Amino acid sequence: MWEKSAAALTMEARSPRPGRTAVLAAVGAHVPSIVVTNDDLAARLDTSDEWITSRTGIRTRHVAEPGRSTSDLAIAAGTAALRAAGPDASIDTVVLATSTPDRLVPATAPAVAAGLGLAGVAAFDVDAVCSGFVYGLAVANGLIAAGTARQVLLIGADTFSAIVDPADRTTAPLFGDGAGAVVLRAGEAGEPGALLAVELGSDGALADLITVRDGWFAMQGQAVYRQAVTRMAGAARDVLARTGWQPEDVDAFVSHQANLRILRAVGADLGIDAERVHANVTDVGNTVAASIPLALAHAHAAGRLRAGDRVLLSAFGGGTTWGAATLVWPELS
Amino acid sequence: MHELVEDFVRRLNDTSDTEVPPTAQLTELGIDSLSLVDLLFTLERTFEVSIPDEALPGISTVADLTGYVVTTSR
Repeated sequence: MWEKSAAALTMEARSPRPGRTAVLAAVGAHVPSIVVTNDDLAARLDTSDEWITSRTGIRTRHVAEPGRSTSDLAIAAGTAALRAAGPDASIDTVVLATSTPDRLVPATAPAVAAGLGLAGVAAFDVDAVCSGFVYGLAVANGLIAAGTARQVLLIGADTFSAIVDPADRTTAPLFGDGAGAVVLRAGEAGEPGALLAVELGSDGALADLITVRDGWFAMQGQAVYRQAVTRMAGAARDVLARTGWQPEDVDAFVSHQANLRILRAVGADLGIDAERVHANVTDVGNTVAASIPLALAHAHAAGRLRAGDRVLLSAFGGGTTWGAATLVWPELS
Repeated sequence: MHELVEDFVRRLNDTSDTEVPPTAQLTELGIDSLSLVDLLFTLERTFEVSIPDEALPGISTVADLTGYVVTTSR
């Protein structure tokens, strides 16, 4: 008998075989050029910069230019990651984490691969909403561990501006469009950049907490806040235990950038002080599946992630879904 | 426990002298839906209790909240 309400299914990444672990080789990011400030929102909604900033920590977000969709942002981030990976990169798989695909059918990843000049490679979408990137990491790691793939381009990209009601003052300030990408290559478990552990989970009994209703995104804020903090902290604890790290061992906690409040609450729950909690949500808002790779790329570009840093990732999203992962930050160009 | 709630309300409102009578509505004290979750996390951690979502409709005053924690932790 299936107990749906208790069906918080947790999947663990198996220990990969030698020479067959996903190793981070490059990062890339893209945000659209249109910037929407809190004052811009206050000009058309019953809200204010003070109200939005005090509750979410978000000051600006980027919105896709007219005519641009998720695949366009994904291609731009993918291009940046491939450039960073260098001329020797040889991608054989493109995984796109998104919940705002260009079309319902077909998946968006093949168009992204073709747009990157990679037509012919394996390409598919993964949808776990805001947890999509961590799910994508587990999928890429599995493909590499099985020997099915050697180099995976994993992109998280979303254009929530297409599904968030611009007249809804409770959701419009929260989201931004963007894309982040990583190149993962087959390597050794012991080398820097190797994915050390991944933890995934879901509870479909809470599907209505984050959904699209009557064409627009809808969220039960209070319950989402509580679930997000509880699940991200839980997944983080589990993945830390499997990695053999304590919270004090973590140099950088890069969590899904839902809002500043959730980031700090998860950090506080885990005992990770604010200096080690990375936040770019202030500038880009919640970019859904793009959020973690964008935060990684921005932190790397700003010199806030250094080779040897022990990095903890965690995410929570619609589904509900959640996940966490650990790696040691490698030397990257 | 009342002191903990009082301390939470004063930090939330950035004041040191806000009165927090047990009969006060949580919303009157500046505790919105997300702040309530922060307060629940604090109470759950400190007193090692669980305050489920189902209990929230019955909690509107400070006394409702502290009473629930006392009853549950027994």
